Amino acid sequence: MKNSIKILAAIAVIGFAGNASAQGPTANANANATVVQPVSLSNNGTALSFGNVVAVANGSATMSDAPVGVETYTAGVDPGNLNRGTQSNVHFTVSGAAGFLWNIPAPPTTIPVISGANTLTVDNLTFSSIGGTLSGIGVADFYLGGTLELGATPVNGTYAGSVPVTVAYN
Amino acid sequence: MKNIRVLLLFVGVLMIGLGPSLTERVRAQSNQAAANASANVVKPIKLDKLWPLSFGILVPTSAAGAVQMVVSDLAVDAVTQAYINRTPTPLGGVTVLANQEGGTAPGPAIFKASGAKDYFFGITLPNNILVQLSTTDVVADPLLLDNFISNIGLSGQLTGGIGQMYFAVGATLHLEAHQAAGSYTGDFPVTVFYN
Repeated sequence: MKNSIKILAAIAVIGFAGNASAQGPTANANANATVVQPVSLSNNGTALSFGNVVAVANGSATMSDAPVGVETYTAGVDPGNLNRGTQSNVHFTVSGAAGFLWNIPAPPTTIPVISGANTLTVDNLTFSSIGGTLSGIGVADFYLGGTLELGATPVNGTYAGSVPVTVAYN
Repeated sequence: MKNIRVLLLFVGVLMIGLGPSLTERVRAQSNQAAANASANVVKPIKLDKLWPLSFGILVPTSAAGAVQMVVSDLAVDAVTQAYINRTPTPLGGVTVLANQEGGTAPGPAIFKASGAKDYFFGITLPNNILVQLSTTDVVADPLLLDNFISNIGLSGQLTGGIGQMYFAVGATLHLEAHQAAGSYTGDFPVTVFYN
């Protein structure tokens, strides 16, 4: 009985030795990925607002894309300093990963603005920047201006529209 | 009765003891024959990791998603074993940044198996274990890795003048919706063995 135990033990050891020899070397490789926050865009609550303008055939009003927007007019369109109402351009802020490149892949150039059955055009949309590098805190600012075209037969009304702007990482 | 058992055991031991001497006697009466004994000792198989598996810069979305590092079409040899820059394939829910400047260039893991020339070997990939990449940048759920794949499948041959083979390993990386930003890293084991 004692001999039998010894024989079984020997077989068991051989079995383990066989397993060990079938094992080869293992290399642990590194895997990595960098996840960055999506880029986002805010209009900071601002709008491209031309205020009040006088309905002059084929007249126009232009809002600049400077940080402090300045509106200029063609002849007769300016209603006068005290009647201009709210004037502003759009202040956009891009947010994302610090140091990353951003851009506006397809900047719009023209949009319609509507008042009931009447439509005017805002064209020559300009951007103070259509791309760059996000700052150390991951932001960048730009401004949007444009020109309101009154058309051949402008009709009184309050016109509104929307400017779609999309930003992306380069 | 106990005494008889002891006696039988003793006889058994005695017979075992006599065995060799009987054999020797027989051998002494015959011609000698030499039997050949041989063994081919080969050097152990070795595995070197050359490059990490890098997925590059990824942008999560509001939906869970994944990217896949495809390697099935790759050919890796002693000449091309330098880092292979390959952008992972988005499987939805994740954007792979087109401009990877500023991050680790994406590409598959590259290994070199070496050992006995012309010998075949097998590869064990961590298909059935959970591999996690974690970050210390922020409090974030780990990224999960699965579907590991090698460009040569799960076996190869140590060819060339010195018995070696390079192979690439890819995998699928999963991101959760709104995955937190950070640099994620982790290790995964790859094993080779003679077939």
